[in-house]
Amino acid sequence: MSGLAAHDGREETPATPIRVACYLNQFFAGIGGEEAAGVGPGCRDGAAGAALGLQRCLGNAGQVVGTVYCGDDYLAAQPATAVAAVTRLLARYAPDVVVAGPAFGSGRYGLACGQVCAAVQEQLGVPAVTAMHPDNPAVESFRGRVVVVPTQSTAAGMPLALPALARLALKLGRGEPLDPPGAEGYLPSGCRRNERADAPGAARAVDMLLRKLRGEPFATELPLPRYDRVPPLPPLSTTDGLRVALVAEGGVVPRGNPDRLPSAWATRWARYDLAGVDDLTADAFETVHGGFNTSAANRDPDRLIPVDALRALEAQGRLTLHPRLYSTVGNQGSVAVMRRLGAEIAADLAAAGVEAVVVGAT
Amino acid sequence: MSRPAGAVRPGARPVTLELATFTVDEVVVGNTDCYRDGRLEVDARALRALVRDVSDAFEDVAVNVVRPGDDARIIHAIDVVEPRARLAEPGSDFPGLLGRQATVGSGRTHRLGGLVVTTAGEPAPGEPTYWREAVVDASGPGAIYSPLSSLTHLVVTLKPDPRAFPDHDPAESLDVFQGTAAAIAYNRAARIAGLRVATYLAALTRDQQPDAVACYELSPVASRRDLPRVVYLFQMTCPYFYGQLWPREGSVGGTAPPPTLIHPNEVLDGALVNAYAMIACIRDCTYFLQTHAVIEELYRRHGTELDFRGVVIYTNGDSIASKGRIVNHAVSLAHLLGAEGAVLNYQGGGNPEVDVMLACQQLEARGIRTALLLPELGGGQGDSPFIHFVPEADAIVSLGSYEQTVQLGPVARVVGGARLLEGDEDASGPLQLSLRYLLGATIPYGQHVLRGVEY
Amino acid sequence: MLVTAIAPIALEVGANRIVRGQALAHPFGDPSLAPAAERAYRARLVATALRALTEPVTGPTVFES
Repeated sequence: MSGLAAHDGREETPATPIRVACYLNQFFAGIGGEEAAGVGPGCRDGAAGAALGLQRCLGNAGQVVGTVYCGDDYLAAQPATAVAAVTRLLARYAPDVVVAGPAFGSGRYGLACGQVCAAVQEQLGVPAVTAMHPDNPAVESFRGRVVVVPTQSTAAGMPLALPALARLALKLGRGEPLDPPGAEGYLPSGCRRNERADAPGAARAVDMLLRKLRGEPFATELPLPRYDRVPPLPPLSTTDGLRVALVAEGGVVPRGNPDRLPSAWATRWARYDLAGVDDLTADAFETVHGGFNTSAANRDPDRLIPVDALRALEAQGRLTLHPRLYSTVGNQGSVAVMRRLGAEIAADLAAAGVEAVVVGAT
Repeated sequence: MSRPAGAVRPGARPVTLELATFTVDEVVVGNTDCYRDGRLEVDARALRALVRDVSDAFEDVAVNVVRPGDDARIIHAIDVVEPRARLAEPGSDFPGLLGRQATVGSGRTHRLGGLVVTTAGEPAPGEPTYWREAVVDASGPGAIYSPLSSLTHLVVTLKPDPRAFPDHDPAESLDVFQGTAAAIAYNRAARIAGLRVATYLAALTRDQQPDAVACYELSPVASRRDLPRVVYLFQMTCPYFYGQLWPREGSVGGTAPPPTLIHPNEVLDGALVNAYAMIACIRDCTYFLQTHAVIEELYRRHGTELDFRGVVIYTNGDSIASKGRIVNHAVSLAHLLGAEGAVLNYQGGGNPEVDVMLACQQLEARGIRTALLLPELGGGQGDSPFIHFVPEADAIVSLGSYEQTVQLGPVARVVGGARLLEGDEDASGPLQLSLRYLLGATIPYGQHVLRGVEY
Repeated sequence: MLVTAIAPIALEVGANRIVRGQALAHPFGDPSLAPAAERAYRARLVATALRALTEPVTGPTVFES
């Protein structure tokens, strides 16, 4: 990769254009619409289809040396072989960088772009960049592994997406390090890491507050998250005869904590047999939760998870209490881990034919 | 009888703290206790006697020095105290724990700069150990993770005498803060021991000329109407407040005291002392209270960029009702001080984070703008660094994620113990540790320079 | 469905059916009550929880006991 000549009054020698290879689906390559979604991998020398627009944005700084395409359905049906074939075709152009998409809101195309970029990076050692809407299902799989530029959800966003792709393609092709996602305009991996700031936290906080008070722009160091939304299930017509399970976040375990459930930062859950247990009593059960004053709960663990109340309803014939108690400790728990534990417990419950769950949380 | 013409109302005297710094360039363990021209000599035997005098429950006391750059690691740290002595008012140091009751924060206090007294040692029987381990590396890759690594530590290692804990039943389940009565008493004594040594050392500078004097006074800035009025909302977790435990709601015997006002000088001058060995990275060591970075920063800019109106202290509630009651009152006090802006911290895990977010929301609703200092939880893919947040929390300083794993190198010398409490590892080895065990790594008062960034 | 004293977190995280518990440290209990009264309180809370399962919701919703 050549840089620019020194400024010494003479005309600058133009830098060698970055070699860009593009990956597009059948539609954006100009092969055809949905009816052509089954077409296998192929290529065109130079820029074809939407890659022509990318070339215009690259100007003299970059040259689209080849356009590789594949039908979305073809790739979805045999991803390993198709991605391998696409990768080989891209390699033939000896690119400095590969640009895939933009895929906008298309899930199949997005996945294809992500897989192609990942393969190109891992197998060819060539940097890659793609673009798609932040809600594209492929984003969750590839953010952090592949540079993803956010776009609008439809091709109406092409005029904004191409310049952004071109800018990042040139930087990656030249081997230049990227600035953090917010500054550079790509989706963050969802992970965070620590670094040393140039000033202590207190100074940065007072700086930020003063800017805010003066009406000057400021940037938070911790953007607020969005939690995913799970659509609520429709209501049951009645709870009579319902098979109900109890799940305790409060760390309720048999006395002595036989499974050594940790008091904080738990990464697993436990399941305990409630056969013959009508009431959680202090001599048989305890809580190991490390996040609050446990004395009241240890005197009567039903205060954390109401086995006695459910057994009473069961005795009246109103419902059936699932004979296993599920338990974990949420104290200091990572959201990602808890999401996994919840999914694992849910799978266990579903396999056992449980119809409803009461979760007790502290 | 009417006043004679021309008489003026006597005004209240300003509260002025003069902090006189005596820099410590060299620490030598010798035969006497003496400070002269930057050189501190300590008699380890005399210091040990001072400590033993505090409690019969110390079976053994050791005194070691760890200097910045030493190939050494401190483990099992309990509290860290900067040597200070209120020489103008003898007997009033750390009221309620060491000295008699007195309002601190005014007069001349001598401090030793660059040196701290660090108590360390294994937990007492009956003491909860969920977050007891605390590590400071004096050099190597681990040194960047603690703001204490650049200080000289006079480490006082305490060993609890098992005979002082006769009724301890290892099978007894313990509350996260409380522990047994004997353990609580031991830990109070351990803090007092550290305060005692610290005060004693600072008093060695009596009658000498300091290297520098810093003056802390909330001088009126009524003439500068353009300066925004800023209040610090100080969320605390169970410190000693003038020697009395300031409990969180639901911990250590029930009801949290209502939020109240405190002069920032009182925080700097010994009104608050660490009581519990909470998670090391956010532990409210007495040293961090004495050198409170938010208070220091607000003072630094008082009169030039802002009008520092004061400090509201509060602790968090354990139910929505008590959170509401406490936060409402704390916000009301801030408003009463005339706040136009507020700095907020939080101390603990997810539970107290809710209170800080509620406070932020209420302040913003009253038109008081906020900035928050938050350490991050989580850190893995898809993890949120928050337990709870509100849309109004749009100005947050990240103190770093304490779930990250850090690599510490091998060391030639370990002070405070031999094996880590977590995992029973040999503490001298290279270690892979969660940042949560590095003392002060993400201190909520903002002393340190770690920050979380997305990538 | 979820029983917790700290409804704001549950709402933010997106639990759809939430019943407000008594306190963080004892969502299903009230140590200030006599044992029989506390069991009756717990029974009422559980009844509300079961009722919540039969109510339609469009998003995170708190049910008061």
